[in-house]
Amino acid sequence: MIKAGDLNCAGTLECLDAWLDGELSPADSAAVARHLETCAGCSGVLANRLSLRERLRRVGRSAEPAPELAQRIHSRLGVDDSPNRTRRGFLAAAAMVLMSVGTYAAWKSGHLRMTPAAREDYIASILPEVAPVMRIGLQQHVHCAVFRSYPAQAPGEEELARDLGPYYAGLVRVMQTHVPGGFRVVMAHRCGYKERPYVHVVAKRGSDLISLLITRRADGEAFDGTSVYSSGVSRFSIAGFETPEHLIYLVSDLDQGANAAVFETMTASLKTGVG
Amino acid sequence: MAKPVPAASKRLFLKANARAEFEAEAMPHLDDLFRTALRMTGDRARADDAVQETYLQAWKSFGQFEKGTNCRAWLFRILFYCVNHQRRKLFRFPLVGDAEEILESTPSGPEPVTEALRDEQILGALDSLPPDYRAAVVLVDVEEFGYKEAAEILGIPIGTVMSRLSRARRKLRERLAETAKSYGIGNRGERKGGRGD
Repeated sequence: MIKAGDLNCAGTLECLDAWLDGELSPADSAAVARHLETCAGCSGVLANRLSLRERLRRVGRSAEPAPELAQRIHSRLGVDDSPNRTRRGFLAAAAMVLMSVGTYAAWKSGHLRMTPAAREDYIASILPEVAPVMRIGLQQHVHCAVFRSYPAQAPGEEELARDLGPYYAGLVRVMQTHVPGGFRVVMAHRCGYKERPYVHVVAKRGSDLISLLITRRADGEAFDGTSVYSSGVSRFSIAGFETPEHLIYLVSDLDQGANAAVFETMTASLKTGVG
Repeated sequence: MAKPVPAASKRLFLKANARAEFEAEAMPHLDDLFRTALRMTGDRARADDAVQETYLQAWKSFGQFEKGTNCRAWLFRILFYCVNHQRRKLFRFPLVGDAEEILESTPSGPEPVTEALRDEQILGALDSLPPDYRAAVVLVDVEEFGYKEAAEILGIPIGTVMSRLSRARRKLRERLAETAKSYGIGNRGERKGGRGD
C-alpha cells in the first residue's frame, strides 16, 4: 500500500464513490485525486467501480415504455383537464358548446402550442433522442406541422398540388393513397428550417398528423445501410430512407410499426417519383 | 389568435395553453420515469400505472410547480409518492423495516469484474436490493441525481441517502462478485482486510 498525500488507501476507498458522484468538497476531492494518481491499487478499484457504474447506468436505462403510454397519458390529461378543478364540469361543458369549430380544432391540435422560444426548446429537447440523420425529418415535422393550426376545410387536391410545383405535384396523390383510412392531406408546400429547404406534405385525422418530408441530401448524411430506417421519440414515430440525391422521411403520431409500414408502401412510388 | 373568441372559449384556450406548457415540460421525462417505475415495481403494467398516475398528479399540481426549477426532480418526487402509495395498497400492510440487516456486510468487500457479467445479472443484483436501497442506487447511479436531489425526491435526510447508497453499492458489488465467482470469473482487487487507518 502506497501512502500518498494526506489520504491513505482506506480513506480513499471510503470516499471513492462520493468522489465519483462529485459530492466531495473541493479539498477532499483534490486529496482523493492526489492519492489516485500515485496508487495503482486504488486506481484499479476506481477503474472497476467506474465500469460497474457504466454498466449499471446502461442496463438501468435499457427499458422503454410502450409507445402507447404517451398517448394514454395525453388522453387522460385531456379528460382530467384542469390544474385547479373549481366548477370544472359545468364550465367545461358550457365552453364545449360555445366553442366554434375552428377554436375546437386549434385546441385539439394545440397541445404543443407554445411561444416560439418554447417551441425551439421543445424541439431541442427531443432531437438528441434520435440519430442525427433522423433529426432532419423530425425537426421539420414538429416545427412546421405540429406547431400550426389547420383550416377547418382543407383545400382540394389540385390546389394543394399547385403549391408544390410541377415536379413534386404528384406527391399529394401518393400521400393520400397510402395514409391510413380517415387521414386527409391538408397541406402541401415548400418550407424551410435552419436554412434547409423541404418539400412537405401533411395529412391529418382528428389531432393526429403525418408528415412526408423530402430534403436534399448533404455530404455525409446517410442512413445506416438499411433500406428503411425507423425510430421514435416522445409521441413521434420517424421512418426514413435515402436516394442518391434526397433524404425522405415520414414522421407521425402513428405507432412506430404503423408508421414504418405506411412508409414502406410509399417508398416504391417515391423512388420512381424523386431522383 | 386573430379573431375575437367568446370568453369561455378563451378560458379553455388558456387551459389548453397550460396543458401544452405542462406537456412540453413534463413529457420529455416519460422514458426516465417509466424505467425507474419499472425498476421499483418490477412489473411493466404496474410501472405503466404508476407513471400515468404521476402525470395526472403532476398536472393537478402544476400550478404549484415553480417554473425554471428542476421539473425532472419534481416529477420523480411524485413518481416515488405514487409507487409507495401503490405498494401500500397492494400489500395492505405497512412496510416493515426495509431489512437493514440484509445489508449488513463487511466494510471492504470484493470488487467484481463487471466485463464478464451479463446485463441480466447486473439487473438481477440491482432488483434484489431492498426497495429503499434500490431507490438510492437507481436515482444516483442510473438517473444521475445528486445526493440533495435524491433526498428531496425520497423525502429523507441527505445523510440517509448517503448511508443507503454506500450500503447498497457494497451489497451490489458483493452479489456480483459471488455471481462472477460461480461462473469461475476472478475478482479483481480483492483486498486483504488491510484498513490502513
